[in-house]
Amino acid sequence: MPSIISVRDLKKQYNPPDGPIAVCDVDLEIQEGEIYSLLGPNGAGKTTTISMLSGLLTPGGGSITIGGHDITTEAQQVKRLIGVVPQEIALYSRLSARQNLNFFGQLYGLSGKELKQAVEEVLAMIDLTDRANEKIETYSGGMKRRVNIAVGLLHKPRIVYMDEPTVGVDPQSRRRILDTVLELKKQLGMTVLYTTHYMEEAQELSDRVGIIDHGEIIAEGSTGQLIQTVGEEDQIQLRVGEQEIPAAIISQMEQVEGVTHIRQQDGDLVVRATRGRRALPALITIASHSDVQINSVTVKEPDLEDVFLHLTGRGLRE
Amino acid sequence: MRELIAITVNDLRVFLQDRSNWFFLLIMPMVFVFVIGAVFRSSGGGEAPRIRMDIVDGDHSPAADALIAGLAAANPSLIVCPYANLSASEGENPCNLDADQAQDFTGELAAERLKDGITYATLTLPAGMQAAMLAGETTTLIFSADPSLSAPGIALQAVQSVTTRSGGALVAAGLTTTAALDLNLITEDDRSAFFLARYNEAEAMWGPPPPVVVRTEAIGAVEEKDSEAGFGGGYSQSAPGMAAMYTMINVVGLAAILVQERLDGTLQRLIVMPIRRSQIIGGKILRGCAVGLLQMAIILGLGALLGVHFGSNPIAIIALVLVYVLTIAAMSIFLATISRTPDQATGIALMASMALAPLGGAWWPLAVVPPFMQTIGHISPIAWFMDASNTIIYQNGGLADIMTPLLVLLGFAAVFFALGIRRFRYE
Repeated sequence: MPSIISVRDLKKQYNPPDGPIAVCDVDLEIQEGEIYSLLGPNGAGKTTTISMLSGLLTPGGGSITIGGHDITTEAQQVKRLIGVVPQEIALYSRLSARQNLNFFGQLYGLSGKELKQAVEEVLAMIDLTDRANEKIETYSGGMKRRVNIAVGLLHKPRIVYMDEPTVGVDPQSRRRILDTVLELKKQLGMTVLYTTHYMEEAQELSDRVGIIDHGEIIAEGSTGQLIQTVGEEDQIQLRVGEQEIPAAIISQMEQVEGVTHIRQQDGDLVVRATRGRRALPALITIASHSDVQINSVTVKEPDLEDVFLHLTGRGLRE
Repeated sequence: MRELIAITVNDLRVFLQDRSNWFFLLIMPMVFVFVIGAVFRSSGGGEAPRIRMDIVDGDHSPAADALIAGLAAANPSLIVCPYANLSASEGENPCNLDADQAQDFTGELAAERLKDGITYATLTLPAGMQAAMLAGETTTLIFSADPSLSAPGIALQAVQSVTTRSGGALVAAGLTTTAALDLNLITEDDRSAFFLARYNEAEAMWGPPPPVVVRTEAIGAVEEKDSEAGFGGGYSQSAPGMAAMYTMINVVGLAAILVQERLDGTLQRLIVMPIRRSQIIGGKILRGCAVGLLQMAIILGLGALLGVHFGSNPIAIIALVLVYVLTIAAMSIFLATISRTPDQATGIALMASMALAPLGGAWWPLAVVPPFMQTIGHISPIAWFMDASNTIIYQNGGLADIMTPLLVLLGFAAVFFALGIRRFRYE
């Protein structure tokens, strides 16, 4: 099946030749109906990539084909296929949600009954029908985010780009946004390109994830495939506070079956072990015999955060 | 086109939703129209200006008397001193002279009055003027005035008009006298008397009604006796002046909204929609024009209600308003390209408007400032707007009469559009 989004050797450098390279040789193949997440820390090149894919920025090199149309030569055809949800709340705050939606709907070529119906549908989808006539400036951050999303969905695009749509919203609104994204795929069969630096979102939503750092895709695949790259080790965190743990005890712990690595970090003994739950009793026994007081224990299975750490040596939020 | 109109209508809605914009669109301009209009009314700005000119008569001859009488009749705006006092009703003092000064008027006094700004000009008639005229010699009249003022031009035109008339009479008398001598109708002894008699006859022939009349009018001078009814008093200055200034403030100030849109991301959102960039920028320009036209309609409409007569050629005033508004909309787009924040754009818009308005004659007529300031003032589009509106209001000018200001304003618009559109950034 041909990809609905096909990107080859995409490049972007701001203020060339000396400016920073934002995107470097990015390749993407995204299938129709797929939710694909670009996961990376701030400044990794996610927004620049989406900006080029939506026609806002001109690529410095490479090619972008959306729905069979080249973005540089057939920009208008591409723009009819896509809906963009930008990171900023790109709305007219002095106007109501309905006025905003009516305006943007007109620019998507909707009018009359078709426009009215589209507006009511997206208002229902974001659950703001009751407050649609209130000015945006009176809304909470989460409500504004939802209207921001609704604008990108007005014309029922085949592809939706969502650039960090949950930044700065409360947990309830965040949950509602994630549910909306899942609905887009399930009920409307839309293709979603989603950028985030929250690994939980990428993990929950995505069919496939591309991990991006310093403008390059450094890994790509399903969540399961990516986690396999760091092995199936669990992470055990033993909270020991300010206690100095002698090297001999750490050495003793490293002998426990399944344990591959131990380090002391921020008041924790961080132990990596295959089948961590089995190794846990032995670790606790060693600690108690050595008068090391353990305040709490956490066993964490590997996730995309670990994948990123494994690939870059840094955390996603560093 | 539909998209362009949708952008314009939406932007207008955003602009008009802000109540503070109504304050600058409606309340402030109206207050200023009334205040500045009242100032010009009370200072006589709404009446026909009277231009005082002193005559220093060193000849005291019938020819000098004829010339002085001709000057007084040449233009009703001209007060010929000290003679106007001699014929004035009791209690009136049009020349601002006491009785003794009027009776014993000297060149020194005239020079002092000119220096103090009591008069606009002095005309000195030299001793022997009539004799020189009779001898067919050139006579030089000395016209003194402050070159930085425009009013003396009116007096000079009156002097030139009268001397031209005298010159005509001299030529007629000279030709007649020569013919009479050639035909031996008179002798050489009779020559002077004959010449003077023919001169007086020729002069008298110009008397009412003269064969040809050229009336010289000052700006603000009258076509109708009831000047206030004809020109709306001081509002003829304040209505177009404030319309030009507040259109600049409000339309150039739209740059702040454009910068805010860039920061909010709505401009970027428009870019990723299936519309052309020209439609976006066109919508923004059209929004500027719409706000400008609204502002013009409010203030010029108020001016009309207050008695300002915008000539009898509506095409001229409509063309002027459209071209001016387009120019200011172009300035707004340019300002949006050089401002990083909305506050910066608002500050520059206000500063530029407050500097260009008085410089361009929105607060007072440019005619009252020295010529070099009039020249400098024309760096402001407002000066060209005021030039054209003065032509329409005071001279009943048509489209052809205001073509120069219109073309200059279009030049301003072309430059600002070229710079603005070239530098415009959506992100």
